[in-house]
Amino acid sequence: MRSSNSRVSLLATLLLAASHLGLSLDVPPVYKNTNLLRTIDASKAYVKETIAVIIENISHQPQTEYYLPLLVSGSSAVSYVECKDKKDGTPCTAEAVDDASEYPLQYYKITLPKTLKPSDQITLAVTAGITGALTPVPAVIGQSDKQFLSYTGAKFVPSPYFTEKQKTKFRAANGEIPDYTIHELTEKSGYIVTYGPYDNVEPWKTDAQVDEITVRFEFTNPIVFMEKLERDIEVSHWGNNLAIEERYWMTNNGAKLKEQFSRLSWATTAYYNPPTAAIKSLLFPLRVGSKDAYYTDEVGNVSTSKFRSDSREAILDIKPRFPIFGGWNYSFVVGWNNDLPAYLRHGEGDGYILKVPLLQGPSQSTSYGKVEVRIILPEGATNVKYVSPITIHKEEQFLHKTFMDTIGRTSIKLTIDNVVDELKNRDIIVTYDYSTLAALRKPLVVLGSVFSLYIVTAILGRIDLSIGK
Amino acid sequence: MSTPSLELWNAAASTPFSPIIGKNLHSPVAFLLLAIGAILTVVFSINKSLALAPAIAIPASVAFGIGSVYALAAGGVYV
Repeated sequence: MRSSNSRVSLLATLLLAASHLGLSLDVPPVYKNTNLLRTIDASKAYVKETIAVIIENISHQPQTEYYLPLLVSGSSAVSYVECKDKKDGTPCTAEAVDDASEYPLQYYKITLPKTLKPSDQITLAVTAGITGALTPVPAVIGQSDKQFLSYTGAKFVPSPYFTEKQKTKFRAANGEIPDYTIHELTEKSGYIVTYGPYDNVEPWKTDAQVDEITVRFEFTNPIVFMEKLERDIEVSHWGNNLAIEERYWMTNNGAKLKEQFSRLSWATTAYYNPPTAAIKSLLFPLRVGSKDAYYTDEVGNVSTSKFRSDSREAILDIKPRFPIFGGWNYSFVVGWNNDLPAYLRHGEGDGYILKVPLLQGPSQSTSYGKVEVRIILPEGATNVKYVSPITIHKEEQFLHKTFMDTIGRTSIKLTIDNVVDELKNRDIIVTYDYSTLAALRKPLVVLGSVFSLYIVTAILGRIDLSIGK
Repeated sequence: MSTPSLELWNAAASTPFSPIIGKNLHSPVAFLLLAIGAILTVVFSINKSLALAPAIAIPASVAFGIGSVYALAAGGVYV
């Protein structure tokens, strides 16, 4: 199956990329890719691309930097890129090449975990999360119809290096793959379509013939997209509590409904629970020990939720007030508490070390447009530093005023754009100083106010207000 | 405080945060302290002498100060 629009879009994208390549980025041909295996995993609400490549230094100098481009065509965008030495797991850094021009091929500069001497080889495993690369085809479906998604990409990795052997595996959500581009050496087995292996693939060039692949496959799950997530992590030393609240603005990016929603049809099919592209429920696996969970939306408390917490797990299972079909929106709030000692340790002097998950979220495959994490520390905390497991795009420090605060609580707001759930459950480590005097501020303020009241009362009581003798 | 890192977190494994009282004691401690504060206030209201202020008003203020913080925590407002 070939979608003419996507083909034209991809062709334009690739040509534009190629035309920019020679102008903006000059990648020296110091490597050859001995063997490259690309896996495109489309079983989630976004594409996870994994490239395992054996690279060989064919220059006469030692090398430390390797360039890898990712195709970001149309509305797709790279969420993250991670890299490691596949043999011993040593991580390496992958940073986007800063390019101000409109550059659909997004290059990443990978700093190898060790210097590669001439003729030496290393096996890299590069993982990238790409959002917006899956399109529902058809774009509108009936309420009980199956949903199909389409992916279009390049047949070869647009590497600037010569590749001796390369293969691409496309992994769909299930074995229902009605259409896929057939090239030489194309094989479909179950839910995997394999392209290759292809020998002696030339480096990417401007005048190269663009070979694309398009795969259309069944996707029975909804495409959960959180346009925005505001997550508050609030530390209370007096309350011995870590409070987490998450405010979601959710939408389903799947195929839209062809006709009006039929409650009757929905209710009659609910008994045998068929697969649906609508969001019926969301499951939040929380950290062990979580308690006091709540689930509200704009109307108020939503009673269709279950919370189970024991010594092994804590799960919050929520059901929205209505099924969320393609293009429909729903905003809601979930929150819970944890005991603080599991997340906070005392460091040297007045120092404290906080270790909390930066992002949690539902177990369903999810992508996020914008995530704002606010870490609210106790009032009077100073010298705040943090190390984030995810690249932060914007950082703000501010004072958050709430109950019993006089100057406001020291807080940091971290903004991250275009996140996928692959990055969740990673801990951010925050250190701060919090003196005993700062800790006593709240009771001292109340103490001072009440004591003043006593003194004023005592003084007023001594004033003789009786009418003259 | 040093630069945050996993090593720093692991090094502090023996010193987890230890609260003055646990969550289950917030309610009784708050009630006790606020009750002490209220009783002392009644005593003070009977004899509002400035000389009694250190003996009655100060303990009452301390009880109200700490009691109010724990009362809020007991109600789920973790200040």
